[in-house]
Formats: sequence, structure tokens, C-alpha cells
Amino acid sequence: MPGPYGWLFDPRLCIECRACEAACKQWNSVPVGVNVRYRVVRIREYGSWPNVSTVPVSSACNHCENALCARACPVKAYVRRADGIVLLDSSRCVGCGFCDQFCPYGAPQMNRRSRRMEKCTMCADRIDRGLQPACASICPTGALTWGEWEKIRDRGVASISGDPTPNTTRPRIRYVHAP
Amino acid sequence: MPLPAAPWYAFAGTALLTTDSQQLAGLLEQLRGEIVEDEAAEARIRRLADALPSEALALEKEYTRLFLNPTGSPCALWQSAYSEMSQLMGPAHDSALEWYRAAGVEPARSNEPADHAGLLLMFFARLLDSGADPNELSRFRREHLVWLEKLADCVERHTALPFYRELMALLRWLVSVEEI
Amino acid sequence: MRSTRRDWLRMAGGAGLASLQSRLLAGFEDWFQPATTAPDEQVLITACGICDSACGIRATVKDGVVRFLEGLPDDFQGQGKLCGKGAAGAGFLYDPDRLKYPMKRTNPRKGLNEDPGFIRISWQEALDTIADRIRSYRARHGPESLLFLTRPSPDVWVRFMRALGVVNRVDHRDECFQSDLVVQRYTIGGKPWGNDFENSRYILLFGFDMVTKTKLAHAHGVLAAKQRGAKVVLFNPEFNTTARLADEWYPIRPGADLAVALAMIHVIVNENLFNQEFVDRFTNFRQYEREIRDHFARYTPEWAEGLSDVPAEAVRRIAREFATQGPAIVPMHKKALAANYMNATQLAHAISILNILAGTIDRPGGRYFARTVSIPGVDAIYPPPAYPRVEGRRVDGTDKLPLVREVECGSFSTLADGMLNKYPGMIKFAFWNTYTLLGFPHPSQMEEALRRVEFTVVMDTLPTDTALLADIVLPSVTYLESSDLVPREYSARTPQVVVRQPVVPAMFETRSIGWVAIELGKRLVPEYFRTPTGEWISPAALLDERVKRAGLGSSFAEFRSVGIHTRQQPFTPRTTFATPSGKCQIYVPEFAARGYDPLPVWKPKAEQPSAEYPYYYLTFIPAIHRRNSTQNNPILHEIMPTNAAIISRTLAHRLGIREGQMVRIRSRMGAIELPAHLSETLRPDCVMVAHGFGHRTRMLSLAGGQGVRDGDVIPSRAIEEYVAAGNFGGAGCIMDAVVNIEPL
Repeated sequence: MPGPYGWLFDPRLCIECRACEAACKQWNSVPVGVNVRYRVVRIREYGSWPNVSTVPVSSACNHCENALCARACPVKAYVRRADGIVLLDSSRCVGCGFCDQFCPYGAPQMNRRSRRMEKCTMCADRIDRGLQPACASICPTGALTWGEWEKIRDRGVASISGDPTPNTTRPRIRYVHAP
Repeated sequence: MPLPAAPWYAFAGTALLTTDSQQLAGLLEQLRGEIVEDEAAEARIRRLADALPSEALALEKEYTRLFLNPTGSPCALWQSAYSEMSQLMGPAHDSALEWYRAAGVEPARSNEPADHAGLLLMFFARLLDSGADPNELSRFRREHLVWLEKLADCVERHTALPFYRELMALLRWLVSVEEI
Repeated sequence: MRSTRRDWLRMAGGAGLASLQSRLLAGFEDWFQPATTAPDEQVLITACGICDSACGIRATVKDGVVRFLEGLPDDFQGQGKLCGKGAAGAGFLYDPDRLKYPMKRTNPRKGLNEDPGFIRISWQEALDTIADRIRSYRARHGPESLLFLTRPSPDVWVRFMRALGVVNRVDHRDECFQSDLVVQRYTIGGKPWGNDFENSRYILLFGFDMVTKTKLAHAHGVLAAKQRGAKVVLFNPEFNTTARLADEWYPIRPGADLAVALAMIHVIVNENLFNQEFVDRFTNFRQYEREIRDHFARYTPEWAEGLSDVPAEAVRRIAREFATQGPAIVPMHKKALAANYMNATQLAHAISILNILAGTIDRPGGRYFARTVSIPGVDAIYPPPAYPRVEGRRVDGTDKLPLVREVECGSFSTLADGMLNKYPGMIKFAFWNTYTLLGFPHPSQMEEALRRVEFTVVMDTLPTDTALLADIVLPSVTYLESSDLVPREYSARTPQVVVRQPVVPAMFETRSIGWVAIELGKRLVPEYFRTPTGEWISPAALLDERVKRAGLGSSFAEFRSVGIHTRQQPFTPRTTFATPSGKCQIYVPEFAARGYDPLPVWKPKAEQPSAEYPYYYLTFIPAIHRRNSTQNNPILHEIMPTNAAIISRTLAHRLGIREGQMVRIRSRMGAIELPAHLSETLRPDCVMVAHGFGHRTRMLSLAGGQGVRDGDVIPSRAIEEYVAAGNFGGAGCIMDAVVNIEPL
């Protein structure tokens, strides 16, 4: 499947099992205890008792069409592949943190131990082998899916409650049934 | 500065793999015979021999407490445990296994991690003894011995047993010397 | 490239001159051997063992190391997926803190702050010592002096205990589904493990944490039902994950689910809305109609509203919908309240009646009896000599609960009272099979009881607090190193079995409890552990026999490569039920014969709010952890390292508590201090704490010292309380507590 690729997230189906988080850590050998989690599930509450509800959001890197991280990086540690995936070469990173300041989604994170930034790779190595990213492939309910961007871009909205406006970054994610 | 002789590494490795005081005492005697005359070396061997506990189970108990299921902070003996993923069988295990296989060997116990400090030291002793290329020695040292400083830090923080304190001093010395 | 070093690195054939003379260097041969294995990658099928959803797994194993775990397509329960815990499973296998070798203590003083002085011993020494102790205690004090804290599995372990005449085998099921099991044995002939959510049109949930704690077998079913337009109604004091999926959610008062269930039965019976055909043909309703109608007359929705805070009109409407918009189902298991409160046995009966009235017992859309492949156990394969009579006193007091004894269950919540107060000194020997102190209410009482046992064996994968109190510690394999046949029981309209096989060889010297059972059996009761041809029973041969007789293949090795076996067969609903009358029993005459209520009666939960303890104490299992055994897994620990006191913003505001502020939660049993987490999703008269934290031992390098034990404020029980309260199913009251909250 050729790129570009994107995410589709349906919070109605999410059961907060965090398989996406765990599979990402496991596949990518993301270190623990250094403040780096490529994918994180956060739950937002809204309303007030007893008229309350919650919205879970699983977010990683949105490999934005206008990737501000790449534009902000002074040492060109970010590279966009032909298929649109934005990769960060941590070995080039000098730990200035600009990318984190510009990214509205918290995707690039500072590894406390190495003092370099790291972020989600969309499991480019799995994609190259014809597989899906670990997170999407393991999601038990299909809340988080991944696929060709052309088939996803019209299926939902570009931001979910609390997210910043997507007009600048044009993230490759769509939310279905966002409240 | 030349690296310490191979038997030093072999002794350090064995001392991290066994808790048999008598065997270790015998090996120290052997070491004395195998090391070229040198006052500092003699002193070191004597300190190690003197530090061996006389009470039969003392070494066993301390070894278990420190390395197998410590009741204080853990001082695991496997390199992977000190990595960022904090799990056994991590990249250090894979790398160690690659080194061993390139030499045509593998650990006798296949169901235990290959990056055990004792195994790494024994392997390095063999490398040294078989006249390995200095660049390879240097690379193995960087990849698989330098971390022993962290082990020494941990053990020294948690043990009062003289033998293990002396052993950590030995480890630090073995790991700190670089061939130029 | 490493291969260029081969020339000078040839060691197998001898190296430098020095090594021939050096004894030190010769030691190399003790620890290394010629390389025999080559790098490889394979995918192995197995079954997860973290919870009993037992989702099928495909494990990618590269060079003998597990790299990735993902689901097994075609598996009915996981349906090709894993939850967060399952995905992180390698973390249990490779936990640096895991128990690796058998050990014995050398420091006779026992306590959570005492260094046990463990030394490593051989399995031979460990087993011989344990056998000697068992032999000696049994001879001098009788089998009742032996306490085995273990589930009744595997079969060889049960055989061992029966052969010894063990009286006191206790497991945690009173804290799980025991009340449901006890009651349904008489109402419909057994606990139906299957919940046919996906074919249900009306799913009524009391509590029901199954989705929140991600038992995938259930989560899939509920979501599928919703896709097909089913209605989900949830009663829960918290707006939890399941609430998000529900069409209607009511923040019910804790412990009052029984009132709502009774009122629903009232409506359905009064208005004759029940499934007439099912009720007439398959139940004893008509036989006891008068008693039933009279009994439920008083349980009006208005009455229920006063106790539960669920509006009467909602109870009435939901009852009508439940009965007429089916197929309808009310599941029940641990966090569907089978263990929560003192009135859980009554609730189990009421819920069973609701399902019966809906006519969905063993019917599409309802609770059903799992269709399984019949896999014979060791007693069928190698018939044993007659087992000795079980004689002696039940230390947990359940001889006072005969229906609990009938299903061979017990009581964790009354165990400490039994060991300390009722039968002090009776238990001389205790074998803990993976249970920990954290699994008990009022754990410090259990700790005291355990300290007084002369000889304790702990078998586990992790060095838990219990291990600190052990005389001998035995290292257990994880599920990734185990062999078994794992039938689907939750999603089992047709039979399916998944293999469990070691995806890597058992690490260090870890062993399975089944192996230990046989080894101890050989030493203590050898006549029970020989095959008819006189050899010792071997785990491998037993597995092969089970595979063959179950029709799964010609050997376990063969089934390992296949991995999953599905049998297509039509689902034939039961028309007779394994109750004494052969029918579903709404009114249970057998309960009456024992002096229990033949129909469920309103009883409140044991602990009620008071001036001193005004708030309800709730506990929960977070999705990312499994009870108290996963907190040391690095990935899971990072996601949730500790617990907090979850308090509603309204209540927090009233008490002057800010987010993150330390609070003291105090009950009549004890107190815990932990940070507050404010939430809009919880009833303002409740405080909620996650279970599973508060491991004391530093031997767990990540989990040790993290969080507090939720059980420290939960009262343990004496069996008399159960008898007095009509809790004849022995529900463990694991959440029956009221507390005070103080900001610190």
C-alpha cells in the first residue's frame, strides 16, 4: 500500500485498554522511565456530575502535512520519507526542544537520560514489510485504525475536543464521532 | 598501558558465577601462580584471599541477597537490566550472543541470559588469552565491560561483605584499564 | 563484519598456550559450550495467561527472545487482538526481579521488614524438605494442619492434595464469582460462563467492570451488540468506561443493586411480562407461583428508589423493556458484584431469576453453558486408587456454609480470622501458589496469621510480600513458558481449544506447579502417581494423552504446530437443567431445606455510612493492571505506577481537598494515606481506590513501595457474619466498607 498514510480514531469504540501504548513500547523497544511514550491514551472528562461523560483519545505523531517539528529543527534531524512518514533521527538531535515547542500534539519527547528527542515512527519498519503499525494492528476494537490517507481524509474531523486547530499543521488524523 | 592478564578477568568472572568459598580460595592461589611478579598484584590477591568469609554460608547468603532476589535495591548481574528497557534479554543479550557465536561458542545454559557479568568476563578472558585483535578487545570492552562500573556502584552501595567489596574494587580496576 | 574474526576467535578447538595451563581460564569450559543454535525467527501460537479471557497469542520469537506479542485470528475470545496487559506480556518473562531458583531462608525471624537471608538451593533439596515437612505435620497433626492456598488446578495438583487428604485448600473465588456459582447450581444447574452479548438486544449491567478492565472476550461481545443496535443499561456509582458505551447509566448507591433487581422482578412478575413459553416449560414458576407473587409484591420500584437513588419510573420502564425487548441478559461475575457486598448471594439469586424470566438461559442472546471439547483430566486417564476421606476442620469456617463446600470453594475473607482466632495454631504448613497478601481484606491480619505458620512455601513468578515470609521459595514459570490446553469458555457456542506452549524454554530453574505436584506426589503418595504400567506419571505423556483423547491430534507436539482447534457443531439449547428438579428453579426448595431464603430477600450491604464513616469505599481494577501481579511490569508500571484516592470534585470542594493533595482514608479497620485525584465521574458520597498497589517488598524494584493497599481499610470477616446475614454463598465482601476522608 503506497503512502501517504493516516490515522482514524473513533472514541466511541475505545475501551482504554492501552494495547496501543503497550504494543508500541514493545515493538519499538521504547525505553521506560525516561519520560518518553510515543503513543499515549488520555481521557478527558466533561460536563459536571451527574451529567458527565468522558472522551478517550489515543495520540501519537500525526505525521502532519505541514510538520512544524521538521521546520523548526535547526539541525535537520527530521526527514520526510517519500510515503509521507516523518522520521526523527535522534542521533542528530542536540536536544534544543524547538520541535516540542512547535508541535501541538506533544509528539516529540525528550528522553530524560539521553537528552535527545524521540517520537513515533508510524512503525515505518513494519510498513515496509507490509504490516500495519503495531498500535493499529493490536487495537482490539478498531477504535484506532491506520490506512491510506486518501481513504481516511473525508471520514471525520481533524481535531477532537481540546485539540488545537489543525489548519496550520494539517495532521493526518481524522476523528469519527468526536463529541 | 597493557590490559591486566587474562586470568584476572577469569577470576572476576568466576567469582560472579559461583559462591563456593573453597573453590575461590583455590583459584586465588592459582592466580598467584599465574600472575607475573608484581607487588600491587600480590597485594590485591592477598586482600581478596583475606576477605573470603570463613563462615560456610556467608558468601551464598550475600550473593542471593545482592543478585538473585535482593531485599534492598537490585544489583542484577545481567547487563540488560541496566539498560533503558529494564528487562532481561534486551539488546545487550543479543549482542553478547553474537560475540559468542562469532567465536563458535554459546552459553552452556541456554535458558539464561547471555549477558551475565560473569559470562562476559570469562569470555573476555578467553579473548585476551587467544591473542585477539586489540580493536576487537577494545570494542568488546566498550560494549560489554564498561557497564560493570554501574554494577560495582550498586554492589558497593549495598554490601558490607569484605569479599564482595574487594571484588568490586577488582572489577573497577579491570574495567578501567584501556589498552592504547 | 563479525565473521572476519572467525580466524582468530576459534576457541572451541583450544586457544593460547596459557589457557592449557591456567585453571582459571579452563573454567571457561564450565560455562560455555560449542555453538549449536543458529539465529532464527519464528511465530508461535499460545494463549495469554494474565486473565481468563485467555486470548490467543501469536508470539514473534527471534533468536530465542520474545520480540512481539499479538492476537490470534480465529480465536473466539481475543478475536485476533490483545489488551494492553497482554501486549506487554514479555515484561513478565523478562522481569529482572523474577524468582529464578529455589531458595530457603536462613533467618528464622519472619516479617515484612526482616531480611529472610535466602540462599539458593537445588530443586531436589527444596522438594525433599517440603515433603519431609508435609509428612511430619500430617502424621503428627493430621491433614487439617496443611493449608494450600491455590486454585483447584491443574489436575495433578488436585490429585496430590486429595491423595494427602487435604482439608484446607482455599482459593480466592469468594472474592470473585463464588456466590454466583453457589446459587446458580440450584437455579439453573451451574454457572454459565458464556455471555452471548453479540446476539443480545438488551444488556443490563450491574457494575460490570468487564469492559473497563478489558476482559476482551466480553468487550468484543458488548461492542458487537451495540453495533447491531442493542441497548445497554448500566447501574454503577461511577461513570466508567462501560458507562460510555451504555445507552442509559444510573449512578446507583453502592450495595443497592439488589433492590433494583428485586423491583424489576416485581414489575415483570406483576405485569406478566416474562417469557411465558420458557417459564412454563422450563421453570418451576407455576409450581411456586403463589409464593413467588406474594414474595415480590413488596419490592416496588418506589421502594427501590429510596434505597438505590434510581428513579422508580426508570426501574419500572427498564424492567418492562428488559422483559419485552430481548433477548435480554444480565451477566454476573466478580465485578458484576458477585463478590462486592454482604448481600451478593441474594443478588446472585435475583439476577439469575431475571435471566430466567427473560427466557434466555442457554439461549441466543443470554447466559449459556459453554460448549467445550471434553478434555479428560488425569483421573480419567490414569484412574487413581480411592482417595482418603476428607476429615478435619475447615480453617476458613466454610463448614458452616455447606453449599460453598458442595462446590469445593472456600473463603479468603474469613481465613485470617480462622487461623488466628478460631483455630489458632492448627495450621502448621502453608503452600501459597501465586496468591499474595494484597489479595486479602485487612492484609496485615493475614500477614500476622502467616507469620505464625511454622513452615511456609511460596511458589510464584515474582518475589512478593508473601515470599518475604516464606521458608522455601519456588520459582514458577510464566504463562509464556507453560504447556496446557486452553478451551474457550466465555465465547463458546461451539467448542474451541487454543494451545499453550512454551514460546521460549523455561528461564533459569523455573518450573510449573504441575511438575511440582508430581514430584511431591512421588515422594509422599507414590501410589497415586504411577501409570497402570508402573512408571511415574510424566507431564509430557499426560499432555499427549489429553490431546489424543480430546481428539485434538496425535500428540501435544503436533497440536503445538496447529495451535487452535475449532469444532463446528450446532448449538442445541438445553431443555433440561442440572438442578434437582431438572428445571430452572426460581423458588429454590433446597435453599429452604437448609434454612436459607428460597427466594432472594432484601438485605443491605454490611457496612452502612455513619457519622464517623460517612462515605462508601469502592475499589476497582484498572484496565492496565491485573489484580496485584502486574505492577512490576516495566511498560505497565510506566503507564500506571501507583494508585490514588479518586474523589468527586463536589466532595473534594466540600472537604477542602485539592488535586494531588495527600488524604487519609480511614475505616474501622485501618487507614491509608495517598494523593487525591479529583474526578467529575464519581458519586459525591464515594471514594475509589485502585486495587493491586502497595507492595511492600523492595524485591519488586518497580512496584515495591508504590501506592497503598486498598485492602487495608476493608474489613475482613468472621464466618458467623455470613451466616447471620444470609450470605450463604460466601461472597467475600471485598468492597463492603465505609470510610472517613481527611485532607492532610
